[in-house]
Amino acid sequence: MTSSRKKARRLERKARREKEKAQIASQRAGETAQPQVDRPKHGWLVVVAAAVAIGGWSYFQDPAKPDADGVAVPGEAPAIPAPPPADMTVPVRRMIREARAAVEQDPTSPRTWGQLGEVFDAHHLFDDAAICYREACRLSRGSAPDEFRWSYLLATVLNSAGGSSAEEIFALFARAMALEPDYPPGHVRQGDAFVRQGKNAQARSAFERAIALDPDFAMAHRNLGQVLLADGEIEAAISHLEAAARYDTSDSVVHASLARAFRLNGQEARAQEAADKASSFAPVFGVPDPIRFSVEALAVDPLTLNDRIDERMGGGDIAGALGDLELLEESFPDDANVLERIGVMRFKAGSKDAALTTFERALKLDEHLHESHLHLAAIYDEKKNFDKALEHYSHVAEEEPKNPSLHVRIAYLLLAQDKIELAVESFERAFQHGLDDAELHHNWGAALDRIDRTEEAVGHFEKVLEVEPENGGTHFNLGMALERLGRNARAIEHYDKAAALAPNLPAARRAAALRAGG
Amino acid sequence: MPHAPPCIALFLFAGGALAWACSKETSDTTGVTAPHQGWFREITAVSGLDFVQSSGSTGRHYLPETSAGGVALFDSENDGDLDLYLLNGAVLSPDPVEEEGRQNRFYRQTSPLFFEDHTAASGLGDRGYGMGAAIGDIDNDGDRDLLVTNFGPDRLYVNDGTGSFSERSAGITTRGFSSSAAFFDYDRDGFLDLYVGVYVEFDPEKPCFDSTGNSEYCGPSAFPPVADALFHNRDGVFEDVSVEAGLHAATGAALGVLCADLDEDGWQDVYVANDGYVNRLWNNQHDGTFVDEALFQGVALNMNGQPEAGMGVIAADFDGDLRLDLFVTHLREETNTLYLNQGSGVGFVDSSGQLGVGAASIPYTGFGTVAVDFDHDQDLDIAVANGSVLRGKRRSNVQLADPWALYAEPNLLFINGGQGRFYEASELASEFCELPEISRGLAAGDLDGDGDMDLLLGNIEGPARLFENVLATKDPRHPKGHWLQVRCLHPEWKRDAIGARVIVRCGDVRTLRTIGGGSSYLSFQPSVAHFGLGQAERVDEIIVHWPDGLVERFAGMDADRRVELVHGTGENE
Repeated sequence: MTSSRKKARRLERKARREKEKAQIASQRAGETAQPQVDRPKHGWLVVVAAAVAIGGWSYFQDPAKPDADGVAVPGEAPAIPAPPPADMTVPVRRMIREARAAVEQDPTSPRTWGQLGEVFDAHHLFDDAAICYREACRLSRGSAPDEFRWSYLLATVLNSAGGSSAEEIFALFARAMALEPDYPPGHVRQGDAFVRQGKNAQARSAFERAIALDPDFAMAHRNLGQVLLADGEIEAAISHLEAAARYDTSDSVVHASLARAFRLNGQEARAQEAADKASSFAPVFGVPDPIRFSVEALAVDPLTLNDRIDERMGGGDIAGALGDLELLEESFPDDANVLERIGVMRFKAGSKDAALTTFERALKLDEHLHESHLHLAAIYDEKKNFDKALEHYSHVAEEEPKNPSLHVRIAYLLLAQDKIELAVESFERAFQHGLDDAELHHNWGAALDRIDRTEEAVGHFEKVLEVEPENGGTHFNLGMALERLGRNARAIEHYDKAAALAPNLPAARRAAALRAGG
Repeated sequence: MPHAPPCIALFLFAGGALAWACSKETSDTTGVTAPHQGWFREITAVSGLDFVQSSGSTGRHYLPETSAGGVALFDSENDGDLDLYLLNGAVLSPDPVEEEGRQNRFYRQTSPLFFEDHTAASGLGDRGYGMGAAIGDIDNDGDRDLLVTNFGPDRLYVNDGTGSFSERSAGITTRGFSSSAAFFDYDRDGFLDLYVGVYVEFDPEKPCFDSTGNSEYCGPSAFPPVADALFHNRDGVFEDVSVEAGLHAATGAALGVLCADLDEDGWQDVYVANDGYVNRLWNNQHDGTFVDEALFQGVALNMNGQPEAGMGVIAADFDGDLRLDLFVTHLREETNTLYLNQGSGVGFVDSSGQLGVGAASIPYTGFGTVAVDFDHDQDLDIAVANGSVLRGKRRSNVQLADPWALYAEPNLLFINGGQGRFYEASELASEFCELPEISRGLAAGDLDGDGDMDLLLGNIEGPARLFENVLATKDPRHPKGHWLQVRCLHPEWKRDAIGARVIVRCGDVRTLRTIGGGSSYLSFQPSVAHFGLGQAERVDEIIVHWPDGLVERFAGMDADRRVELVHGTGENE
């Protein structure tokens, strides 16, 4: 940036500050219209005198004095907020402790104070956050990027938590936005703060500034539209709300506001259409604000972790989800469900051994965890530890006796252990509970054939071929079964089909042998 | 920040009106000094009221424990004074365990401002997990019957006329997690129907945590939302008509319920404040059905278009334009919201910021609320009962033990400065506002018959408290504002005309109040229209819009009296 542009910008900021200070002053003056009650004539004099006297006394007693912009500035460094109590979860406590230690190590750094504020802020400890941000503001005076961040965050925290004067919140936003006038989300938040205090005109200006910087900013259009709607400027409101709907089509809030605007404008059909849309979408909360997002991302409380894990899972970020789950495990070391989720994540990440250990720990805490048993069975199956795999599948099958796919899995494991008769029983159970596909009948038939229940095996193979007449493997198996039963002509028939459909099988050789009288 | 003396704090917070109060304080030379501060004096200890609500908490953070605390003020035996009904919790295991000794309590006013426990004699010692109460004469026999909403089956108690009640099913079938309820006559057949707000489908197995990982009470979004219930009354027997009326498909998490003719078409509508979901404005279609108009009327969401955590509700004319506005209390970090009624065709506009009720409420979680002309200056002031649902900072003068101390918040008083512009003035009602507790239910009524409105406050894990309004009558420094109380009676129905709109004219000033129809949070207050008249010693006329559509004009009368207006005896408009 050239120096002349910088100078122009400085002047612009100064002018804006002056303008906003003037606005605030005029608002204050406007607000002095008071309730109409009978007052003694000398009442005001007494009160004004008292206000001056006691206000002056308060000023000198109070270490946080308002500066020229109306922002309360501590006279000296505040005490660092107390260490976290033991009833917070381990990750939250650790995070606060580490941020506190950084402040203790470097108490004159705005950044350490600000970062401690962010940790408190992320965990909704707004009073402590405000103390830290305020100190960060004081220490960062003259360092624009830092001062902007801490002023801005202090403004957002005070605006959310309440209990501060409107004037201070307005002043903080004004200062922050003068330092960084090109940050559209900041203007939207400033506008929201004005809305909260009923300052619609100022709110409109703030939203308009955001739109000027980013004409596609849906939330700026939305919020401006809502203020216009409240002010009775229906056409203008519709225009901005429609813009918001263009840039964010699935925000129920926009459609809800449009419904009302169209109704007020006498456009009943469009009102109903917007109302229908409003009920079919979810509301969008929160300004898309990278600075606030960076603070919120620090949160490591269980609720946030759970939400974030779901988000990461949805986005395929397995490693990120696993990291958050491990923080959750620190929070609840005896929570079997958390361990199970970690196990599943490790399994998906391909860390099968780590997953196995985790599932085993989870099952020690709760032996009924379905996913743990299933995943352990799969892991042991893969490791050819069929006994353990069988044990876990059987556990699940006891709780889900009507799940046919479990019985099939068990049957395969039994087959692998040459426990053919038990495998056949499992195939039967799978069939009883609704499984009736070609694969079941094929394997069931093969098992029956192995224990010389060949006639039954033939029946199952025939069932397969009813639905899959081109299944070469089944033709071959059926041929073998028929050959064993001495039905050679039919066996040859099926060997021939198998030979045509699955040339890698020794069907042609078997057919030739039979034809040769072998 | 060091505390400034009250005078300067008042000046800083509320400006001129409070400055006046301060000047009164400092210029007092009468030597008459009340031992209390401001508009209300707490009289619990001397009144005989010794109820302490028990949430039944076992540390498992079951949602009903932090949602209960309703209260009711009503005349149980038609002797002209108000009696008290207080809702109590029960141990949740996780279903309510009904125990000897842990029950709702009923106190009869036996002499002015003195109450005796008549729970056993009245038959009102319900042992369910008590949430709230609604009162109405369900069988038009001239006495007041009582519905208890529970976490569990709701129960109806029918009055035999002497203040002795017996439980009767009468077709009320709600048995989930009911919250506020209201009796009203939606089909104008003369019998009071019933709307029951239902909160959520509570699951005791659902764990929730606060933002630092501590186990905490869940919010409503942790559970499936549910639909409310509407019961039609036919000769004292109720039938669930929720489906026929069109309510069944609209789910939410209802906490506050009121019934009033919000669009002035002569038929009662229903407004429901939902916790975290859009509010509903059930517009009466005159054929037994309702259509939700909240979105179109501007009362579903706040000004930012977002649903808030609606708790307590009021329908009242705050700005003196003879239209009913809506006020809803909300969660910490939200504002309490005042929807100003702009008239037919326009609907309501969230004017909380402009009217001064928003910012002051952001640090608190509001529940019960009443709109009353406490100072008889012809406009409605607002009192709000606060108490958090999540642990917060420990406040300096809290008296509760942990963990409840961390939920305690002070209450709020807003003074109407005229035209609905409010000033937070809790310093003027320090006995009501200063002590942080977990307040929930709030009801206003003239307990001592002196014309002004007193308060009954319900707390969770704390005592119910009575506050006598001493502003207009006991404080010689305050010129006594005049008043009028109006009951509207229907001779055929033998009861109060719930839903009537009463307009009093004093010179050029017209003031609107309504009769009954539910308001606040889990609470009931008497069906009387109370008017502060300022310096007017006489009203020029009274106009009543009866709930059956008749509009009558009654002749003027002297102020400072209770008057009963009887349907059919006025002059037709």
